[in-house]
Amino acid sequence: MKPYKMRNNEVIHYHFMLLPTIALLAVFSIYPTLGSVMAFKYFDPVAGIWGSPWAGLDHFKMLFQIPEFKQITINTITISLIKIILNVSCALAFALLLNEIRKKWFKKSVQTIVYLPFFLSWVIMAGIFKDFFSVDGLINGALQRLTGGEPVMFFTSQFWFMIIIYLTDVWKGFGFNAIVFLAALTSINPNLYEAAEVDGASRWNKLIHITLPSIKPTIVLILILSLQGILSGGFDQIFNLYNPLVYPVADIYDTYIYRMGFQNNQYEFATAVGLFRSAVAFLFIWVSHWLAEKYGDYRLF
Amino acid sequence: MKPTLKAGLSITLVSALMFTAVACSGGNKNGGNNAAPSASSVATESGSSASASAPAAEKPDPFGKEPELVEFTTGIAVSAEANMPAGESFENNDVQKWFLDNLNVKPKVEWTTSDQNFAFDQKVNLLIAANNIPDVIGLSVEPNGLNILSKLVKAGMIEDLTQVFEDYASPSLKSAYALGGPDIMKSVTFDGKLYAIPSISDVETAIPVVWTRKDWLDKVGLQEPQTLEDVENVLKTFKAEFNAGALPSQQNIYNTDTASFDFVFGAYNSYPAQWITGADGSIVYGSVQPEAKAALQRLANWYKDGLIPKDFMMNDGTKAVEAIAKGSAGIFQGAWWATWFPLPDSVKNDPKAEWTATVLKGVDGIAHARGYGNVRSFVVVKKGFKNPGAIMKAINVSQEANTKKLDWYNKLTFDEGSKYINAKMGLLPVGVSAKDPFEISKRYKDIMEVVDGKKDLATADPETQVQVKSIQSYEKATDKLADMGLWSLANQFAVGAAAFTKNPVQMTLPAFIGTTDLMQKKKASLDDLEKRTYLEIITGKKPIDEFDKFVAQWKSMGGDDITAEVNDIAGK
Repeated sequence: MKPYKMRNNEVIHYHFMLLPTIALLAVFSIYPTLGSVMAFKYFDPVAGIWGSPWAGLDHFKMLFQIPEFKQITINTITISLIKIILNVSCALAFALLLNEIRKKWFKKSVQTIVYLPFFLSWVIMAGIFKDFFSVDGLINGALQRLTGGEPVMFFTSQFWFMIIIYLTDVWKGFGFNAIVFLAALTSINPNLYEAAEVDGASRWNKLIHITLPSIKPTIVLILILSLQGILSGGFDQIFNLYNPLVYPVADIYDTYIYRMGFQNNQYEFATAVGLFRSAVAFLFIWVSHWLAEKYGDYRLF
Repeated sequence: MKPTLKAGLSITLVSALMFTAVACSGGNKNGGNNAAPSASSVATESGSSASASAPAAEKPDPFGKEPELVEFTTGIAVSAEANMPAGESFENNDVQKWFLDNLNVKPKVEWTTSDQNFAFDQKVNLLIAANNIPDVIGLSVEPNGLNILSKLVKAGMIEDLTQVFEDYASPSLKSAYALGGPDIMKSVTFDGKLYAIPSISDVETAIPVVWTRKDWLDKVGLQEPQTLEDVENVLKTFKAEFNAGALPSQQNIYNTDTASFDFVFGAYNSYPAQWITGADGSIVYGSVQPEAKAALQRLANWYKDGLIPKDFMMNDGTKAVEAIAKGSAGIFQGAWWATWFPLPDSVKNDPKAEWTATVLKGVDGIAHARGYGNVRSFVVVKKGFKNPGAIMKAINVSQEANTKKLDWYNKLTFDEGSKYINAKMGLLPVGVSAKDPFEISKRYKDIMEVVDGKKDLATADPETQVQVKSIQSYEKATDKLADMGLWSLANQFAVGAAAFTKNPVQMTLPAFIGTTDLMQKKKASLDDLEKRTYLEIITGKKPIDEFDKFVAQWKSMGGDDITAEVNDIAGK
């Protein structure tokens, strides 16, 4: 975006359009942020956050003392990274394949069907997947018929549990990215394809030399924007599926914060974890913006 | 793209800070309570400054009608099984109507939670953090009600009820507490002030009871199981005969009344996650005692043999008992009142199903079981609430109702064919019940004497009469399952409570309840470690000797310090 040279009264309506968003941010993000001061307090509910005595960095010291903290950090980053890579690559492959289909009605309906899971809540999905992958569920039933072996304990084996987390996440989320890619694909100038056709290019050549280079900015952009979510590995999904046996591989910041805050009522400590997480997340956002500017030709500020 | 970016940012912030959102709103409303007339100055005048109607000179009538409507806010936990007549609710039913007409007291439900997975306690904890508790809360002591109570007292959020209790509690309630012994009031008294109105435990309700399908036992010619070996044997036989060889089990493997492994731990005299008195008289933590290792070994063997569902750690209490309803489980651990849950579904689906209940003998030949402390639950009143006397009156009535002394209440909720017999939720605006701690087995004897004709029905006490009548009308009924409420009611004593008379039970009561500073800091990590190790051992991922490693780790990670702290506090 180049700096605009329009007069203010010409763009004032855009500012008005921003108001609802700003109001929402103020109520749900900016105002609660003030409460983060709790991370530096010994919280006393009657005195309120502001009236509670200061704790200095006690809660943060505790954070680095607890044995699980390193593991949780590693888990969060690995889970998020793998999810981002899988989500983008599956969505891209799917969009490219769908784009080759001529029949418009078929394209549209497939697109809608894969997009649907995006709108379902994890609470419901988790219930369905639990039945699906349970010891006497569909998957194990099929496996038994094929191989006749012991049922696979999907939810208690750390290896299988992560496979399920990635699979179900991709299944639920890739439709959204696929739509973005499809939109980018439709905006490629058809003349390019026609010219290539005249030169005798095969479908494969066209994909490699026209399609992919044309949507490269979109791919980079989606990857970069996904980076912001790197520290939220998907609380809803993991919380609804995990159990103590897979904590070592599946516990992420958010699930840990939930257990500490809501189940053990250590609000100050949970806030400290949350604040630490936000600080790291901010770093990631900053880096992703810098990357976006450099490679995605995209600027926000 | 821009909006996406902004949304992403805000979501990050929101999720990171959602805790503080709750606390923040509380922080800023802080003082809302203090604006009300300070209750401490009023306490000595029995709250009468608020109820001008009751001159301090004359003694208030514990059952008298309030001159003006007293509305109070409250929160309740509702079971998924709850089943109210159409159009009625906790706020709107005949029981509440009686309270409105006769006491002029009316509850207003501010929120409801599930009765599963300690949702109610979590909610109350959050509201404490937000300094926004309802006027009246009833809390159960399990799993950590007394801890919440001390938090409320420390924060100065609840009324001192000493004088209110003195002036308004009914004579029958007071004498019931007196029978319970001095410890009852002590556990809800802080610095000589009474902060809650307690219910006395039926300590026996904590005893894990093993329920077995008698019709199947008869078919295969087995006796009711008496030991863990018998249970194993019955499970294996049921597997071969009825394809029902797995013990319904759930993710909460101990301290849970239905479908947990409490009966296995109890058989080894092991009490995980409880502070108990050790051999040397000091207080020790049950989870790290050698007895637990033996119980885990047994469970691991069962799991290996397929007697425990392979994926039990994925089940909650409701899912765990589905097998019972389906007829694919013939033995499970429940409470003595399992005729209300989960058994009705089993009998509905298979009218031939007949269940019997017992308490197992332990490995040393004696039946051991965990017990509740002497207080089971309690009611607190928010500081600044204008009319605690009215709440006390409602509590007086609830005591009469819970001891079955009120005809109108029995007709609505207990008698055969009564309107709310299948409601499966408490309908009293506040619930307190003070009975003999060993009421259940005593009541059972009493009932059986009348049923067997050794005693005259008219001389029995009101509750016994209600129970006997239900048993008699159940026996007279041609279609035994026409009224499931009657089925549950008649069988809870005739079958469920009979379990306590088969083997005399030695109960181990908790030696310490509550939380210490160090627990606040370190126990969460220890609990995670414990849960994981227990599950790994049971599911065979780790050998049994992992237990010794766990104990060493538990001690070094702060377990020893916590234990010292607990002994320190208890020693005071």
